Amino acid sequence: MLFTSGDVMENISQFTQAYSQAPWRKQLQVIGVFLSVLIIMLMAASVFVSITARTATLGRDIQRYRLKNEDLEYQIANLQSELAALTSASVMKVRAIEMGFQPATTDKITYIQVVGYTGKPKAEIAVPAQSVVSAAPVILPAFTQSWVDWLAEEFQNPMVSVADIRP
Amino acid sequence: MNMRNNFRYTSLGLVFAFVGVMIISRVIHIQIGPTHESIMAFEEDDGMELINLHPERGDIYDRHGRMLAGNRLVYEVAIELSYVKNPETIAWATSAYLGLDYNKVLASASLKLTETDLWHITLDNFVPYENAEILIKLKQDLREHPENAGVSSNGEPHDLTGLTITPRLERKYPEGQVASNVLGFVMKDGASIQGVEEELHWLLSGVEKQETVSTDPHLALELPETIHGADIVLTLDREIQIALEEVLDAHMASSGSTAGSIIVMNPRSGEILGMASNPRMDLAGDWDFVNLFEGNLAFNMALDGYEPGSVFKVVTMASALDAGVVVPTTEFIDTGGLSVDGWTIHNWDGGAWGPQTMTTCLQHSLNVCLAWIATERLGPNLFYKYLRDFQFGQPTNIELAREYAGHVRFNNNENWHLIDLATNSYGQGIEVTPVQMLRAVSAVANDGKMMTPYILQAVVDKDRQYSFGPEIAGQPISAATAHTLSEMLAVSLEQEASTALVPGYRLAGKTGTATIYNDSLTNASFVGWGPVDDPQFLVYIWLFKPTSTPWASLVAAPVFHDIVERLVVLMDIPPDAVRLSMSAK
Repeated sequence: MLFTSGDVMENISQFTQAYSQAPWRKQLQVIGVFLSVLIIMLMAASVFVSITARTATLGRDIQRYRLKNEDLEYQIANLQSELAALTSASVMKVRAIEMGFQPATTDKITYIQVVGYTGKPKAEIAVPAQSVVSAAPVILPAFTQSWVDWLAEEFQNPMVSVADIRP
Repeated sequence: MNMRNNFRYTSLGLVFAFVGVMIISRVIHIQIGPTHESIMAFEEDDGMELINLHPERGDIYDRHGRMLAGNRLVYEVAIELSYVKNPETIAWATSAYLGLDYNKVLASASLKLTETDLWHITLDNFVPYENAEILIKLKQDLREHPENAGVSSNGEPHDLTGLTITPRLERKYPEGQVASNVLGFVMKDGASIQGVEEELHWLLSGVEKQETVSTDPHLALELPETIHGADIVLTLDREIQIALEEVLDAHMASSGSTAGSIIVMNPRSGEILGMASNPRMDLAGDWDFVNLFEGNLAFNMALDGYEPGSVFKVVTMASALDAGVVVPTTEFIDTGGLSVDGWTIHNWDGGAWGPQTMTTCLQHSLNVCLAWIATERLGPNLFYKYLRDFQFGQPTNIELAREYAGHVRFNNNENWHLIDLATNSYGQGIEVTPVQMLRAVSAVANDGKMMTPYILQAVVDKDRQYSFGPEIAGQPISAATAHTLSEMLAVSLEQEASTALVPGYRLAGKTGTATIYNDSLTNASFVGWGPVDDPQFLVYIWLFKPTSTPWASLVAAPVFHDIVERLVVLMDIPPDAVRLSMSAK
């Protein structure tokens, strides 16, 4: 049985037609793919916008808190000066006289030996520089290191050493 | 099927269309709505703003942590021209609550950016907290309740937009005039003048700067940090300082002195416990710097140079004893005159005191005797060698501004003559400062070790305190010489029944009366320390031109007495008998 070329083409066409999808279905697929890409892009964009907005909000908070911090520092300085003025020598002298105190003079003083008393201490406004101990980290590494860092650390410092495994 | 699909597509289309319409309407809203102006302003500034970083100037404390200098809150009131909406409101508010000139402020606030290079005009840099609070509240009320604001004469609603009220700090001295000559002061423009304020300005001031920074919130962490000044702790004791100033003021008034200074130092360490000077400013009140210090008076007399007179005999005698050319019992026949280089040296009273020992030479403060020691026993090489060892002519480098180095004409100077040696021996023809004298005499009170006077006890920076300790400037004389001379000076005071003595305490000291060139008045001085067996304070007194009497024994010695009476109480020093019995236990 012989087949002409026309027959072959017709068979191929029928075959293709049998396995090809309807045009409306193809359109739907294209639209679907397009929408899927669009949705993914929108999701990515919304995540980006969300994070950017949060960052901007936090940035504004930082700016605001810095101003607030500066304002508080100024107020603390102001209050410290006011306190110093309220406890200044001239003010305290007036208060002492009002309360009936009199200046001490050599003939009115009785000296008593107090073992261990070394006199008025010198001012310590802050921690002496030489006694500063390096502070422990406030945030544990587990909260800051990446997974890769953790993995590298685990490899470098395995809980069980190779020597322990060897017979 | 097709109908159902069409419905789905239509719904989807409507959703997208709705979202699109929402986005477009939001864009239009932003373009023409209330946020438009702020965005435009942001755009005009290119997202940048100029900020002034005002650091907090470091506080100054006394040795026990009592504040001597701090800061108080004030406000800078200014106009930001690009934001001004109603110049009339700004002019009205600032004239009503700050007392500023209405027309001047109106003219400034009405300026257009195209008419001037200015965009920020400061109206007042130091508005007190109370006044600034009123303006802040008024501005807030006008912004939040514009409906109640009313309109100004130009028909525009009242609005204080463009008026900025920014907090800043101003120097404050809570103790008023206490230690003002040591502290110095800070001018309104931030310039620090005299004293610790000037000398340690680099530590106290912090870093004041103006920077252009981004207003982008994403760059918030890149905002520059304000570097505040360090706090400092002085060796001064507030109570001792006040006592010195009270005693100095009282004795200046009674003696009619023009100026004066008293310094108290711990001779073992060199710590300055008090440094009073008169005249001095009241830093809490209005400053009248120019009138107060007219006639070239020094801001801090303790750092000024003068001819010390007979207190310098302590140095001459220390040199002679240490060189071994005399001992306390060495005899000298005072004939009332000594011829040197064609000149004749006389005693303070012009008299001849006859046979003397070195102790009585000091006791009677005989110029002829000391000139004889310098010219006949020490000679110029030894005498000036000791003066170099005592570091005369060199500043002490105490942490105070404008310390004078003094002036000594040494024997290698071409203008030096033998008469200089004679006059220098009793403190004339030589220029020293009270602080230099204190440094030199500390060697006598401290077993031969000369201590560098210092006033900076500690620096507090970034919550850490860095403390400073004593420094030995040198050892010009031996411990034995120091003890011998201390004993001689203690005996001198006792035998003279000096008004400097304080019952119960053994003290050593020497008066000094110096003539002033081309002037009939004198410099009256006193240097003394105690208790002699364990010196805990070294006092130097200088009264400039007393008019009641020229003699230091009458005007300066009683000052020492009054100071020691206060010091022993403030420093918890019991009388010698009590102290020694306690030590024995």
